[in-house]
Amino acid sequence: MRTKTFVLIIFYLLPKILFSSIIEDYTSKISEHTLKNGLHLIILRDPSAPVISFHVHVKVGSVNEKPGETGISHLLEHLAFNGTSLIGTTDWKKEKKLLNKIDQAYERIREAERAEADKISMKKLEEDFYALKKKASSFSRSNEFAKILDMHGGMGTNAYCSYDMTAYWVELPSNKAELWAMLESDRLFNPVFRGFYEELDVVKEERRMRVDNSPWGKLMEEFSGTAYKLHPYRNPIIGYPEDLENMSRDKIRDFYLAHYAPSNIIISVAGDISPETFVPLAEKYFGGIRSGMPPNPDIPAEPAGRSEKRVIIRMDSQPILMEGFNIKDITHPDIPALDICSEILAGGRTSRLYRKLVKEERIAVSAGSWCWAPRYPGMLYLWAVASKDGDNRRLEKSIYGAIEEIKQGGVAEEELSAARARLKMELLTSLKSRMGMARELAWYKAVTGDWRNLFKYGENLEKVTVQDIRRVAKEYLVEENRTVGMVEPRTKD
Amino acid sequence: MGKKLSMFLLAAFLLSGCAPGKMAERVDSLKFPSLENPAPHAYVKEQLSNGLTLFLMEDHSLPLVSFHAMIRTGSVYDPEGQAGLAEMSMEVIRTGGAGGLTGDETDEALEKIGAGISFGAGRDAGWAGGLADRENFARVFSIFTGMLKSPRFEEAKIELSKIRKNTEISRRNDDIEEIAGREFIKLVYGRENPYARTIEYETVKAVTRNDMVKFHRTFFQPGNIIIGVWGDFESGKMMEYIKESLGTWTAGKTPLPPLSGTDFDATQPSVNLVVKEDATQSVIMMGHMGLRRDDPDYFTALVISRILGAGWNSRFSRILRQEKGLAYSAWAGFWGEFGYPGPFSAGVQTQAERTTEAMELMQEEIRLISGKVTDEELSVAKEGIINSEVFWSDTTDKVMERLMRYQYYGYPSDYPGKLLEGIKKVTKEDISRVAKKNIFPDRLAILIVGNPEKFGSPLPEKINIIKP
Repeated sequence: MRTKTFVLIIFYLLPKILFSSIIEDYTSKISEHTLKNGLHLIILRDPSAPVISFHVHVKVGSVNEKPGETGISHLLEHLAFNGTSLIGTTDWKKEKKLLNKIDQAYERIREAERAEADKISMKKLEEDFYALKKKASSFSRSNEFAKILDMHGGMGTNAYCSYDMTAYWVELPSNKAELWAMLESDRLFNPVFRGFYEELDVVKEERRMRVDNSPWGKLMEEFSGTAYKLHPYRNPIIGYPEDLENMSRDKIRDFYLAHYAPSNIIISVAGDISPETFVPLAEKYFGGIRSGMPPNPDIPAEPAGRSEKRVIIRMDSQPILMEGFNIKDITHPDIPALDICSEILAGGRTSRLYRKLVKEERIAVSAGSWCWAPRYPGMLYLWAVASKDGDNRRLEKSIYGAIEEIKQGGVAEEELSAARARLKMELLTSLKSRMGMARELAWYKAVTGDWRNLFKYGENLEKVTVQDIRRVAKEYLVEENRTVGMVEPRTKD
Repeated sequence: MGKKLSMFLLAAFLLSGCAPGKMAERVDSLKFPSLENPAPHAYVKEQLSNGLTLFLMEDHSLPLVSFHAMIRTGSVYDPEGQAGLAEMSMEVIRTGGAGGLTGDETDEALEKIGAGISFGAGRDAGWAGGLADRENFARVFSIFTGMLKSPRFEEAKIELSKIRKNTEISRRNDDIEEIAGREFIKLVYGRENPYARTIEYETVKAVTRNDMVKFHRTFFQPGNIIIGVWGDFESGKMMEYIKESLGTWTAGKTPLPPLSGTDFDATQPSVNLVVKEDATQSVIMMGHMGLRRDDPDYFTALVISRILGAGWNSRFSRILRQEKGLAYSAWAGFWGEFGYPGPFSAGVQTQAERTTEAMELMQEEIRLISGKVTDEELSVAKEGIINSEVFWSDTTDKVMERLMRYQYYGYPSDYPGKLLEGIKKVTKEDISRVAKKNIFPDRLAILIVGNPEKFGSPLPEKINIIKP
């Protein structure tokens, strides 16, 4: 046992790791500042490499969309890359006129369609439309924004849109902070939505790819539409095809003007930059932007569940099973207990579902869970992938059995502490990623009002007891609160 | 560098004959502070007396320790009729018990402290790795060395691995993208080539516990293994500890099995179709055998990829996505592998009705790349690579992964520097020369996955139907 003694000497004499002191040390590197127009800045100083991660968080997503306009925040996110009156054009004055004419030509086509015009006049209208587009494209350089970032060493330039937010990000060498500020302020506050019709086609292809031709994508769209009756979490972020057909540049502009106010935006940076450098840069490039008030979102509350909801999709695919239980939003005190409960159920190889469904009954090859607690009431998801020749009904029955065991018998202290250790380790390792941290800090600020809540979440996990787990299982993981979604193989004739 | 680059930018725009947007002028007026190149990450490299190669790198930013191993193995070594042996053996080395622990006890021991270990096999390498906090590192690493030295291969876990593999096979035709990726590689390398073959029910069935034991005996020898450890420790002490736990490990001297059927003959040109009736999109892929990363043309090939189809500013993205709205993602280029020639390939996923249009545009762009490129295209591609150099080593994870990879494939440790020097010198003439030499628009293997009834135009007469 020589090795063991040796190990003891090397490692066990190191200072004990105190989670709280790591967090304290880490948070001392974070500062924040609000510009007069309401734009909020978070700066995480990390001089370990000469790079900076820039993350822009706009507090607008699909929940802010009106009926008939689903997908508009996502389409706007795409169009934000197509330039401004200063980026992406060789002659804005001429191009602007043409872009307006293109919109009018498109409207004429839509009107003719509605009036069921004859083929010859339709063809003529389409030719006009394409001729104008061609003319406008001679002035446009749609990819100039990304090109400038790229040439200056920009990495991972991208964006995404979700239910509650839209985010834009890029990483740059640390000497390019001013370049970023110059480009980003113009992109955010001076967009012109050029290339609208081409981008709409791209989004339709994205929808076909992610939803229509993907068993998981198709399931999730139908699942959310079933799990929520009133709350806009029921609508797909990418939009319904019918709504995409009815998009226009005017609608995009109105939506943009209503939501892209400085006070609705958080900029979070992580890397080799000090607040003393960054704040003046932000003042210079973002400080002059008009302030504005984003509309108070009028979001209908989701009524309490009264019965199980169920959706089955048949397609050329092997079976998939997804279960969801309506829970609360991120600020609710039950969330840490639900998070640990979800980890105990399906986090890792020692979890209840993995042991039961994969190792013992061998009816699944994997099982997973996700405690999704966003700005509005979220969902505790459980899923399992049936093994070959397995079927969803057996999985479903076994999952309910596992949930029942927690409700009846509770969980062991060791299970709780193991799940907690895994979640805390996750939090600790997430500190390794600059971009990941910039994103998380902005998210917690936007959704809970303070980035510190990211770290308080770790403390809250400490307080969860075995009694809490049993209580939340009994309260939330119940039939009337449940949605079941399935992909079932299409039966061959 | 700032000013020089700006002048260069301006010159590039003028040369290409398009006046830039006003923002480009403002960007041009910016003066960038010089970027101080950080000191390279210090590391220790040592070959132990039993042949095992070790890399250590300190990183005290968080109380964590990561480790990674590369093992000279891979699915290319799978014996005829036993495709899947490497992947399944690596899985069961992790799950099937080792050292003094059963598989289930291992899972318990790791998960109760939030640590993890994983094992896997690629085509020409095996890998393993894990992460622990500083306090628990020794415990986790001893479990890891147990797996390296004495896995138990419990029958129950072999059975689970077979169920998993059979399930993977049963599900692999659910998604058009997955079908395309798999079948395309077969067209490039040849159906029977170990670099392309796939696992089937009968090959899974043919693998026994004895085969796995033999697999371990053959490949898990210290001389076949490189280990990297990085994180919150002191290198001297860590070196002593690892020597203590792995330095005395001796294993047999079984030679690596010979590889057969791994010739990289030129790809046979062909047009192929996989029918997926419920698809409303088609995935189109085309290409042929490409280059290894140590090919003298590789750095030029990287610039070609950026111009043709890698990234927002490539012709594929500009023309197929931004101008035509054909696809969410459209890409093309050389995907260099370290140990064998990677493919030159292009891909698009578009609505079924526009399949022919997309296919023809892709072929056209592949054809045109051997012709003229503009000064602007060349400078955008080159500057993009050169200016993002700091991201090659901005985390210890990246640096360590690279060091180990170069060691495994026998590349010099200054490979990135040489690559960058080469890229800086690439001219328009180089682009044309290397494209003509390595891209063959008339010898493409083309694959379409989708529903041909919706393609809108007749299929070529000589089309092979593939049943996946």
